[in-house]
Amino acid sequence: MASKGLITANRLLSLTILACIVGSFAPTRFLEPADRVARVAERLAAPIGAVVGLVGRWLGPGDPAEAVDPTDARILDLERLVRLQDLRIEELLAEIESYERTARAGLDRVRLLRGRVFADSLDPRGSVISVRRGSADGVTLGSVAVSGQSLIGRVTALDPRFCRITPIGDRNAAPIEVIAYPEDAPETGVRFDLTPESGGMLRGPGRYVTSGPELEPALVPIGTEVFLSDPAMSPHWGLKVGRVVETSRDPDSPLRQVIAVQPDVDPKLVASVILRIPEDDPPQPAVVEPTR
Amino acid sequence: MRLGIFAIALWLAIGLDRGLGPLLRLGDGSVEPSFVLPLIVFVALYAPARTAMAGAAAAGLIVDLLSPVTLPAGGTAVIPGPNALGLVLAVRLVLALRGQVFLNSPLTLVVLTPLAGTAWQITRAGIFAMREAYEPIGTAVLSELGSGLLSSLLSAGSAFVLWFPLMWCVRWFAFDAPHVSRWASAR
Repeated sequence: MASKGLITANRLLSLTILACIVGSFAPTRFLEPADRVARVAERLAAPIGAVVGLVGRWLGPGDPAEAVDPTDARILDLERLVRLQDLRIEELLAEIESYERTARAGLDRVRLLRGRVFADSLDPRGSVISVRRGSADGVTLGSVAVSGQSLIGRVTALDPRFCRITPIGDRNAAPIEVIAYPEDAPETGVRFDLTPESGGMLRGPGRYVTSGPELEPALVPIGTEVFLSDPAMSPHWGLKVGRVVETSRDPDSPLRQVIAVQPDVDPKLVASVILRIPEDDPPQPAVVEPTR
Repeated sequence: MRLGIFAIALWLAIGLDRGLGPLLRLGDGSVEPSFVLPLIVFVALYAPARTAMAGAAAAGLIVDLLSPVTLPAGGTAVIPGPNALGLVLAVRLVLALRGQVFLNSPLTLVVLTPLAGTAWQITRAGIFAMREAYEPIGTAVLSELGSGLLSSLLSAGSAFVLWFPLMWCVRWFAFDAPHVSRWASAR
């Protein structure tokens, strides 16, 4: 490093610190170049993280993605379709228009792609995970990551070689609509709008929908499983979101129940995920492609 | 200081953070010991001041680049700077204290690591708190500061573990700070 002249070590250090100050306070819309550099850094840091991670998983195994076997995947997918059928019946009873939406959802084709998790955020407070599958493999921003039939999160950033997944419990994850089937309303189900809260949990009120002469909506007990029914994610309807761990009443509307849901999968422990990629082609059986 | 050796050590420390983090985490997963922090403190103990600060800035930038944050509108972003500035200030703290400590004792690294981590986390939390004023990204500043401070405390353990391999290869670093006698770095 030159000690004299225009570029000196002191000036370089000062410039670096100045750049850090600017970067720290710059609006995120101006930070796209940093994201490109970060993707290079991800690739450089991935090998050593993977090697040490192997040792770490040997000492305390991570959770592999389930349903890697094509036969199992098909069975689980059929189970998902059964739940989807339940959703359809409920929609038909509610209103005729929703039939078209439900039928369309049933015809959506999804491609299943297994990908290894090669990095999570170096900052332990971050929840983003990076998977070694990208746009070159056909992954799109509408894709979701699952383990078995349990939803982990959505693909929110894409690179040709990898993608970043925002878990459903992340503080900035979009709210989702789910449905639960309590024993006293097994056919219609109860819908909830869940919003992420701290600790990776989701919480939200139920919709005020009653059947027949009932004035009070059905209540969902603790332990009930909830499934995805969000219109914005129709190709993935029926995926399991988690389990109700807490219930309360909405203070503003006491007839409505508020539930807290613990997602099934801890994103920090997954070693691999299955990406569900929606496709517009005619329906085909879902298959799992081999791991790369 | 040999930059190549520092780069390899930093790469290994990042690998340890990533690979062993899930194994060593506490609570809901936001508290993990850092292996990068003890390395930076170790370098700050032995290297010339300017070199130590440059190393801290570089390490902090890499931590920033590898820690994407989620945005309320969807997507992710990388904010280069908060961890870099935090580590630079942490190194300033160590530089101020290093004249008063025993350089060849593992206790020095064990004690200074949480102290430096405190400076790092307070700086980082302050920057994210200021960002929340004009571009909220949902940072729970106090909660993150709390888990960051706990992580710093836990890093005392990783500092103790790292001390021995770092002292074993201290000659490779070729520290040439005037305050380091041949006795201080000899093991």
